[in-house]
Amino acid sequence: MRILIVEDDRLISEALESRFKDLGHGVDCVYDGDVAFSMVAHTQFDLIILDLNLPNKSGEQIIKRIRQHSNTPVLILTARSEVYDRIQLLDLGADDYLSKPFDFGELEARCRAIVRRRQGSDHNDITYGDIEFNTANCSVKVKGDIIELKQREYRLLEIFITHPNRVMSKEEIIDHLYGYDNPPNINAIETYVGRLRKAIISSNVEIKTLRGLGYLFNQVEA
Amino acid sequence: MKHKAAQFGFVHCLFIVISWFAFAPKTFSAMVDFNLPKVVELSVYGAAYLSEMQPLLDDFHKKNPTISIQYYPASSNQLVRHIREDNKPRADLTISSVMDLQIQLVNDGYALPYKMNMLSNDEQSGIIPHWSHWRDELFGFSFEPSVMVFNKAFLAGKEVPSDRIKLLSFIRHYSDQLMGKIGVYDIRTVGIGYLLWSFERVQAANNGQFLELFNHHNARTFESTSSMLHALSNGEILMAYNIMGSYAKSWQEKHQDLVVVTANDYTPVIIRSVFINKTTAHPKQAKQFIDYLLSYSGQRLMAEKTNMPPVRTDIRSENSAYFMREQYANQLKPLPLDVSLLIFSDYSKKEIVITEWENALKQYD
Amino acid sequence: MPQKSFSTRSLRFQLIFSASVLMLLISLIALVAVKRYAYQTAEISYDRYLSNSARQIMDQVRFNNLQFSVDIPFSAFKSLTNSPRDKVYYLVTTQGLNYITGYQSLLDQKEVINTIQNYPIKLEPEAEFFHLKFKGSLIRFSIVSRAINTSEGPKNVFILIGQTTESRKVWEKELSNFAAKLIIAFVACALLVIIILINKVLKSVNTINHKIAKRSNVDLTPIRLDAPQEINHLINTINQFMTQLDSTLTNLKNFTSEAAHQLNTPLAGLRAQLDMALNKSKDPETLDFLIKISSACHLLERTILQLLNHATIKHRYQSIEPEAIHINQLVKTVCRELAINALDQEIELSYRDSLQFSIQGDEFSLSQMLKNLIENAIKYSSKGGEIDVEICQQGSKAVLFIRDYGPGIDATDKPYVFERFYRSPNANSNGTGLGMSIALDVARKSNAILSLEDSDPHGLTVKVQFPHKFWQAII
Repeated sequence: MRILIVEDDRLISEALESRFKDLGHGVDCVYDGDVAFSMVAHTQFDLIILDLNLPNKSGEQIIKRIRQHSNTPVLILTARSEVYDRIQLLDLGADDYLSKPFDFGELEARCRAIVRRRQGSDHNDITYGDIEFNTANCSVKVKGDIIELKQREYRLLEIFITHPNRVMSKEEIIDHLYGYDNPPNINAIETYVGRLRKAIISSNVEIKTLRGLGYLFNQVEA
Repeated sequence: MKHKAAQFGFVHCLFIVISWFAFAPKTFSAMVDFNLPKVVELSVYGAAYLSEMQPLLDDFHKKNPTISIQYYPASSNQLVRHIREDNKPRADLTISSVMDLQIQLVNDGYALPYKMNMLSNDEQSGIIPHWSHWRDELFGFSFEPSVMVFNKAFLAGKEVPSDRIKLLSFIRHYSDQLMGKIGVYDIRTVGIGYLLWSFERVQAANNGQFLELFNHHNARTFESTSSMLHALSNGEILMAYNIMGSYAKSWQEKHQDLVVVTANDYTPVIIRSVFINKTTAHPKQAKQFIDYLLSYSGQRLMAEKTNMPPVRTDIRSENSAYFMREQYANQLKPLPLDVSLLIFSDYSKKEIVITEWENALKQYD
Repeated sequence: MPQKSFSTRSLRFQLIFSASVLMLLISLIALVAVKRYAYQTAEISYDRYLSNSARQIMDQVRFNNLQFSVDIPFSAFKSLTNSPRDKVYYLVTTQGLNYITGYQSLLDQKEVINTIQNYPIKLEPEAEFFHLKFKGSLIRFSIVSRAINTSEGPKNVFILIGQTTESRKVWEKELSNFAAKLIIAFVACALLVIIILINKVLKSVNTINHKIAKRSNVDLTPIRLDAPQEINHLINTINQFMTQLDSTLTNLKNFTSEAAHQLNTPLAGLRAQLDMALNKSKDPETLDFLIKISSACHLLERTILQLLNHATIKHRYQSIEPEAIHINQLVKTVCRELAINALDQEIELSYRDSLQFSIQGDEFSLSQMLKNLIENAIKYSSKGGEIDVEICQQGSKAVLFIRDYGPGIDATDKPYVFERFYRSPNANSNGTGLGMSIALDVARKSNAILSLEDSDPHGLTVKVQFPHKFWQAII
């Protein structure tokens, strides 16, 4: 991936750069809002990591500019504790945020997630654990073998796989599954989850039920 | 120890009981006589003929059997002396028609105040008219006009003079017949006579003319109303001037030989009044008597059985103050029952009036 | 209980009390004045009657036949009947105290003798007046004198005429009564007006009170009110204070925000570099140091985070309007966020409820509280354990239970748990010591009661109770 890191603190941006380069991504660092502005206008990136409190240009303005040109996933870094700032920014078009100081592992996971989410519409292949999920020909493979899934279970799996490491409540699942037409009864979800669970029983990914909270699509360590 | 205490207690109680009896004889006698109600004797002194008062006294006694009235008739002067000199037996109540003397006695403090319920009760206060009492101390109970009285036989065939002007011309006309035949009160000794005369002296314009006429006709003076009425009856005199109407009427009713005339232009009216003597030993019973005199039944009796017209405004028969005041408003000149009457008892005034009168009337008695 | 001093009683009471006392004083003074006035007018009127009567009598004094005589006119006493109940006493005498007519006993009175003897000899002497006790009553006398021609030359004749004072007293009483009625009516009206005015003024004050009370406790916008001048001053002062408070809060907010940035940025840098070092280091000894530094760094981060959170929570309660928060949803959201961490330590988080309710509060603060409490539970659970989160109703209270089945907290420690930076000797060393005190703070501000119990068979149960006024059921 081509990653743009917009962060004026050298300690952080150096570390990030090093880390992502180690993972094999191409990284560009800018330390200034104005520069970021022009960079974004001329170059396509796969991922932008943006610090909110830059000199010269505010995070808001930069996101706006990004969104004018593309759908690149944007992850915001912020050191301030104001809650509403972040929500505003999510509304403006950022995909996710992380507050400083942060854990790298978490940063990477989130970057992956937002990239995957954006890619979901373009790219065909999503993998999680030993499950391969192909949106183009609607096939699912576990450990390389294709498994048969009914439409409902397929859709359910899609939702899970695009929201890894998140506990999904039943209400959320219903929302994603049905939109506005005929939401079924909550208990129906239990049935579908049960079926899906059965279908991927051989996988190293489990659907963990957390009583009262929802379901977690989780890769189990071997 | 206990024995002694009991003894002591007993003696103590005995002492209390005895001293109670000693110092409260009344209680003692009351305790002894508890079966017999006490009879209170009221001494009523009156410058009023018993004959007129009798029906009232009887009725009162009937209604209040525990009160017996001892009535002492006296002349007004005797009355005044009796009270001022504090003679015994002391009067409990004083009745008189000589208003100026009554006022003077009350003014000088000889009356006991008695706030009658009827007078202070707003609802009823109209019944006893305001002009009939003074200071809650003097209570007028009858309203008596002063009249001219003629020998009936004498008047036969003659026109009865209905007012004073006509009387003047009547006297002049029948001058010969009336020579020495006119009777008047001796104002030196008859209280009511003096009062009526001195009042007329103020009120009437033709006073002087009367004096002249009396002088000319050798008018005879009398010491009392009854003697004057007697003289009229047997023809010693043929007319009497300014006499107490109550007695004249009573006499006329009895003997039918007199003619009583009230003058159309000027009829003085006397209020007969009563007060409770301050020195009375029986205030409660005295008040009861006053209550009776002014009660509806008492005043009804007055209207029906006597010639003393009652003052109560709820009695309106012909023989009543109310009737008279309504019918004869123009001619009546009631004497005021107030301090203005003090003038007539004034020493200097009395001298002047009596001297004037004496000079006018030579004594022919 | 100590009696309230006057100045601390209600303003209304003070004003009305003072006004009443003043009115009472004024009316008493007025009544006394009226009584005096009534007495004086009575005296003047009735004295005049007396002196007129005396003069009328005087007009009739004659000297004839070597002696004085008086033919008192009827009218002289008639005018005295204006006082219908009053007794009359009179005397006509000479300077040499020779009785002419009237009440002779008056000549025995010292006062009478004195007055006659001290009477000024003038051309037209005025009537004089004096009081005398006679025949048991107080009599008001008038005395006039005139020189009458006699055979022995002009001689002064004195006429005294007196009355009891009943009519005067009646007049006084009637006038006083009338005046009293008038004064009472006036005072009543005045008091009424005063009370109305007081109410009006206090109403303005009450309106301010009402306006301020109606506001949420975070609204520091200036009060707008049309009021009388004095009240406006008060309002302006209040507004000034509120503006000051507002700016102080804003400064605090800004400071916190600024502090967050200034602390977190270098920390993030520190972390970033540390992670890299940890990644790249091969030397076990260096690795050891780095791990220790990393651990200290983590603690630093968490402490700073909690401190900043606490500061944020505090100022949010002064500046943010509370809104309706659906507790069940918030709890579930926090649980879901933390469930993954928990699972990493093989601790399973579960939730159940038998009541749906909402409260008025601040979402950020409440979620911090819930995070702290649940994170605590996770920290102190043993591997493979469970954490039950339950919402139910107990009596009139809505209750949130967070139960862990770890070692729990000793009875001796329990009271200290909520103190800032308290670290129990039994606790593991990862905690900042702030979590519980923040949670308690938030609970208090949300009108909830936070308490600790023991789980069965062992462990800590955190109980958050919302009393019945402060929560609303959601159907």
